[in-house]
Amino acid sequence: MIPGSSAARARALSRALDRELAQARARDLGWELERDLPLVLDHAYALARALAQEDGEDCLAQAEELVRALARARNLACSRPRARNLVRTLDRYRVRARALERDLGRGGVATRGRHRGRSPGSVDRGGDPAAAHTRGGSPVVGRVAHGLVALAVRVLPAPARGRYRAEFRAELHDLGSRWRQMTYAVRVLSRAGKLRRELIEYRPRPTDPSAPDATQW
Amino acid sequence: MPTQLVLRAMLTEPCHEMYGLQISQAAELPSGTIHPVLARLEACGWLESRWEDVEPGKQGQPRRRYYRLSPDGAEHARNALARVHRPHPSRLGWGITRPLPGSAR
Repeated sequence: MIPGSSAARARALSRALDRELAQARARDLGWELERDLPLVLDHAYALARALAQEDGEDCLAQAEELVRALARARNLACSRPRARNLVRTLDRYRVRARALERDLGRGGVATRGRHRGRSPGSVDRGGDPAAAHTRGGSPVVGRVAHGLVALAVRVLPAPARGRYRAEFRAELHDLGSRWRQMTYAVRVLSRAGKLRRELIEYRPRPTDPSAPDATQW
Repeated sequence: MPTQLVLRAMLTEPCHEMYGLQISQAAELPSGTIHPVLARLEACGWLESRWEDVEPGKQGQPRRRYYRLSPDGAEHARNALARVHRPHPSRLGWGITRPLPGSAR
């Protein structure tokens, strides 16, 4: 059983981290933090998603990843003289994430040993759609597929990441079997560079009759 | 070409909204491959997109991004595809050319 308040706490944590990330960006804290803070946010969202989907297998792993990512970001922030407030904030979030991790462990939502002992390759269940559906019949987004999509999103320009993260995850959610999710994620990742180029080269603009000829695409 | 396939798929029902997986299925393209095409068409103003409205009973589900041809985009897409189907008279395709009528040999 997933503790009742865990999903709400994870969502609140995600929102708080989101706000902090926006402020950190505004303060220009350097590219390392720019890189690491979105990772923190990714883990927080993944945790909230896993909790919302009652994907017990994934919850504790995501909580652990979140605590680790927060620790990494905090250590980086320590080296920045202008990031004193950020360090304090990350400490506070780390405490909240740890408490969440502890509660999830106590609630027995994840089989820690089974998760730890599993190799990434074994996530695929051979394309059996039934195997991908767990509690309540909701499709489970495989951890590896989820990670690949998160990686693809990181390749994209920062302003587009939120949108594509949500879009890719929604599509992953719609694909029933883990095998199909993996295939989708690999394709998304393989085309992330191309998508990045499109997003950079073709800024949104009003309909242009002289837009590039479709035959050239 | 993927863009032509996507445009053809979207033109079958220009007012109908589709999300990424539906478009790739309609265009007979592998899932996960069409987002660069959609991004370019949207940037050109040929496509419009919006987030799915969340129904009260589906709060936990991630929202889909729906796409459809803009009114101008549908027109441009039809013209572009018509141009594709009307190749230059001197070109038969795949680099094979024939002399234009009346041209000296």
